[in-house]
Amino acid sequence: MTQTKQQLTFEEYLSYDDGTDVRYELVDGELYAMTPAMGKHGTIAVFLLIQLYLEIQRRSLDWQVRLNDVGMRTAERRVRIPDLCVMTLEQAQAIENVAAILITPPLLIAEIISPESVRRDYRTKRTEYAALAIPEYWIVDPLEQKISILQLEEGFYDVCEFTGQERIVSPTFTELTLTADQILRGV
Amino acid sequence: MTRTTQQLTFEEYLSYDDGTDVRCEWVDGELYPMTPASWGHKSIMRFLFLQFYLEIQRQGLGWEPYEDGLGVRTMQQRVRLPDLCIFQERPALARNEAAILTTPPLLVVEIVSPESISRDYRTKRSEYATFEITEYWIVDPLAQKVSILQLVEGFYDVREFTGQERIISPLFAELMLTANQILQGV
Repeated sequence: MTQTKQQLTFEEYLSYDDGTDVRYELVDGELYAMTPAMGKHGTIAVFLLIQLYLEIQRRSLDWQVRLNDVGMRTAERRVRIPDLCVMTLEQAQAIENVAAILITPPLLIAEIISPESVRRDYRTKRTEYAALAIPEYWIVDPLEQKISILQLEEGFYDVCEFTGQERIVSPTFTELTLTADQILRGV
Repeated sequence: MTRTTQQLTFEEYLSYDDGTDVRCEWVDGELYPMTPASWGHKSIMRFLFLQFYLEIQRQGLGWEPYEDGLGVRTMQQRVRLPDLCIFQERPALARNEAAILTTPPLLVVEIVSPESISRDYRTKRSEYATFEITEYWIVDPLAQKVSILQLVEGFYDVREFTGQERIISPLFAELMLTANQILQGV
């Protein structure tokens, strides 16, 4: 994620097009490009997408899971684009014909750590997603080989960490049977 | 602090008057009345205000401390009323404008009361960090401790002080106060 100097309003951000297909987050009026991640990142993202999709189908839930194309407006001039997001069908319908930026909290968000996002994912986004009242936030960390599941309790996240063959425990997907290793290997 | 179910816009919040003098925070469209502070609470607030004021004078920092009641719009849909806050400079507000600021203060203080424990330690910890307030003090007469939270890369790190320990504030590095002095408010 690299940073440009240009100052944009939220409206300018919505219509921003620099002729490339690079996606940007908006942080205090500045654009932060989402640079291509390492291959492992994509493997994990797709694995999670499929697992959560199947679980939503199996339980016939009115939810939708999406990969990095939905923005969260965490502050007046901030838009974050998480690697993965689970929202209600109602929320999905609300953004169908407009810019895909949620102003209401989705059910779950996941970020997959890459070397340059460590502090942003563990610190800044932990704060921002809690302030936005997102009930559950997963941090998948292939560098440290662990998965943190953060659960919102009265406006602040409590953290549970999972490693190796431990089964992860998700308050949103209570019946999901996945180990930390499965997610980290993406198979 | 009890909650009303009424939904208000920001403009409605600004002109809200229910005939009482009770002040309210505004959170996601709802009003949260602030219960009157206890005498102990008020004593701590006054003590800290004076200490901050004197230290700012002594160092010629030019910062502006405000006691109780200045609104801070931490998010689009939220206005908080911290017990105490310190701004870098005098806020640029017109005389007849509502005293609600949209820029982050340097420091805020909350004094914990029985009904505000999880709000002060949890909700406001996320909210004040999102708003990028560099330092947040939680003075807790119930647990007899002072927590000083410092914003580091978007998240607050916490240090706790009790008893005769001297508190360490990154902003007021030379302030000589113990936790007990603050908790007793003398």
